[in-house]
Amino acid sequence: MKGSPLEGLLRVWRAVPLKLVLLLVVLSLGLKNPDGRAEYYPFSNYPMYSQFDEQDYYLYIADQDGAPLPSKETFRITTPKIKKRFKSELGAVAKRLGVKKREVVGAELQAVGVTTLLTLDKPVLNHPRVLALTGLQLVYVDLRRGDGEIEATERTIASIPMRGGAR
Amino acid sequence: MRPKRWGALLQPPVVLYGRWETVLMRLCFSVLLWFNLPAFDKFPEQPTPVGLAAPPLGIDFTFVNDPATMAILKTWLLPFLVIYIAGYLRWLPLLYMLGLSLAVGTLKNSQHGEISHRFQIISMILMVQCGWHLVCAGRWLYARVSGRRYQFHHGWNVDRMEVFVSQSAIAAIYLTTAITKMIRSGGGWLWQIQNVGVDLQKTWGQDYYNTLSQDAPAWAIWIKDTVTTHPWVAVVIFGPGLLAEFGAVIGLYGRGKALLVGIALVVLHIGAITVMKLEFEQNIYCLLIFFVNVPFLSLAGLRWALARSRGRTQSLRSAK
Repeated sequence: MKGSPLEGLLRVWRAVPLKLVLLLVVLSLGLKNPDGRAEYYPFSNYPMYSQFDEQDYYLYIADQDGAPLPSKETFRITTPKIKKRFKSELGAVAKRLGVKKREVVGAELQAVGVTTLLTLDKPVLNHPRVLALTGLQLVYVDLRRGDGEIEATERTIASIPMRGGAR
Repeated sequence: MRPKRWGALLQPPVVLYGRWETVLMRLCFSVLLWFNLPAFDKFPEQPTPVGLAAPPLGIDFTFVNDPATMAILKTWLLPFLVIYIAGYLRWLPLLYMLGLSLAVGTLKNSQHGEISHRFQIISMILMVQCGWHLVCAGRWLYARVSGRRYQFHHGWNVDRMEVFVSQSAIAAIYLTTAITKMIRSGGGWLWQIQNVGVDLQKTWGQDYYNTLSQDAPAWAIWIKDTVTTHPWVAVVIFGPGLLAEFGAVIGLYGRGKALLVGIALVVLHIGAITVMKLEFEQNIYCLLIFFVNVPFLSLAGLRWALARSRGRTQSLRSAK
């Protein structure tokens, strides 16, 4: 055994510092869910703020007239979470169609928007405006980096009917 | 004197944590777990299961969605926390604490792709601590059966290694974050950061539509506006954050380095909370416990205050 390649490897392995850190990093980057995302709780690759494009978007919820609703107070959900739901559904549709997420447009994008709106809980805010809701809209805000400024354009991509604050 | 080999030079030193210091660390960590275990009732299903809830295991964690069940589980948690803090048979309470945190965290992250990383650091620390104490229990059992002596090498002991594995888990999280930035940006993160203005506009927009109101300190508004009009400023402001994440492992090489790395990462998080609306309070608390080592600083402060008051009493007596 002495002087064998195995012994050499063992010596190198023993000399490697911070083995636990390395093991945890490898597992965090390597463990994946069936959908391909490295989010195998409690492991994660922590992808937030890892890529920056000249273009991005966010979503918000509006009433039937297009007036914004405070999502946290109305539906107990934050706008980033609405986007996460939207992105998850968008990814599934893109995969089914065999296209990139950005290439999902028209009726397919509208369907993704409707699915996202349908995942919202019943409004919890006991406010006359919420009780009188007759519809919900999902507004898509497109952001692009311009010359020393950020250009924002809004469009409604989906809507669902409501009655007395309920679907 | 024979010089040390490169392997030995890179090995982290044994930090001599005191008994009360580690007891205080466990107390602080237990308080953190207790107050951060969420009780919810809005996740009756696991529509997009992750981790242990995903196939092939497919474990159903929806039982923690019931507030009554969660109340019972939290009541049982209390005696386990006491045993854990006292330092007896730690593998047993840690198994319970880890199981509970995995159930809650996995269920929360199995909702329509809605991933939250806030509770992750607590589960990671519980996982490595549990693993370490199970190894210790196994070694102790083996020593009993084989009649050999149960001992640690190079000055390590159960408590010191418990702190070290916790720090390792924290460092691994930051190192993973930094590596992901490099992988996903194709190595050009520092160049791409010039587009951060778009992300900040998005984050602030999302924040506004949560409540239809916005409140931010003047310096955060200045950063947001400046990186939009002068993108290169973003490299200067956000670049050190990447260095701090990569450098998190340096904190494993002694108390002083842990303190510096801990402070740097806490500052990074405070900036991220204010400017990027990325709320990671749990990470801050874990850094304060295991890197900045508030338990040690508190004990040192207490000792200093006691010594000072004793000194005063003695000088008063001698003056009489």
